[in-house]
Amino acid sequence: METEGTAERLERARHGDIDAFMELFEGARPMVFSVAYRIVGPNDAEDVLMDTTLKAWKALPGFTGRSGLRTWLCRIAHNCAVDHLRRCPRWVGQGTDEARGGADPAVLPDPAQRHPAAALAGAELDEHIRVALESLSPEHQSTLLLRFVDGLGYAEIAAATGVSIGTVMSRLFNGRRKMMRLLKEVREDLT
Amino acid sequence: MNTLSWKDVTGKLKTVAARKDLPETAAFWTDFSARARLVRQDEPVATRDRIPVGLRWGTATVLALFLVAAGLFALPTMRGAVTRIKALEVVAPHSGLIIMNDQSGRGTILWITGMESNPSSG
Repeated sequence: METEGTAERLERARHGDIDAFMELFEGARPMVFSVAYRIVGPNDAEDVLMDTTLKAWKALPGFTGRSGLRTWLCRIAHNCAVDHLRRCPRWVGQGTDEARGGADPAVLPDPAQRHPAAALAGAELDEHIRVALESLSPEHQSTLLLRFVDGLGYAEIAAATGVSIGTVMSRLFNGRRKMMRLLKEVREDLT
Repeated sequence: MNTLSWKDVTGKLKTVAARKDLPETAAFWTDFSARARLVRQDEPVATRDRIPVGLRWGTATVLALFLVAAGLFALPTMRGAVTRIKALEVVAPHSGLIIMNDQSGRGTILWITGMESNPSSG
């Protein structure tokens, strides 16, 4: 029944029904916003979200259903974000609001200055994770975050980042391994 | 100290790298509606691929299996189709010609007699 409703709404939206479009795309809005956020950063994500939605509205009559609707949207979001970056290439980091490029793992807090019992606990662990994340390349950061924070599927991440599913899997594997290695090094230093 | 697992890290990542909240729903769609009315939608494209991808793959697989099966069934028949020689013209002078089809051995024997008895005629 859900599928029928979606198909009907899609057909109406393809023929110019704005209300049907809004009903259809409201569910995908968080995902598109995440994609925009991970690529252009917090300040411009809303603009990219609006651009993506307008482009999707314009191009929807040409949507043939070869890929899933969400994957199709991710591809549009990726293109809008890349266009945006070409116009204003100021965002480099991906992970957090403070991120501005890869961080140096060497700046992780000096373990010797800490009390071992409090090591890797609470806010301290958050900080280690943040720094480890920022030490990754922007591509690895965005792939990890889209997967593990925003919950996108492999095909959606591939469309959102403009690479193949194989590359997504590889980035997830390597990014995760590198993060864990960095965190493990800090942890061993603390013990 | 407890072992740090990837599950722990992802749990923390959701806090550390959480994105900010979505733009407010009503305001977003109001803004969108106003802008969308200025945008002309592309011409509808005939949806060529109404057949679901799964069904297309299924059909292709069944067709491929059918062709393989048909090939396997046809193979014995093809093996049995031995070429037969029913007539043969020998240009050189000779006295006789025998064609023997050996069904069991899948071969044909040609026996031309009397060629050696007319050496002068060549």
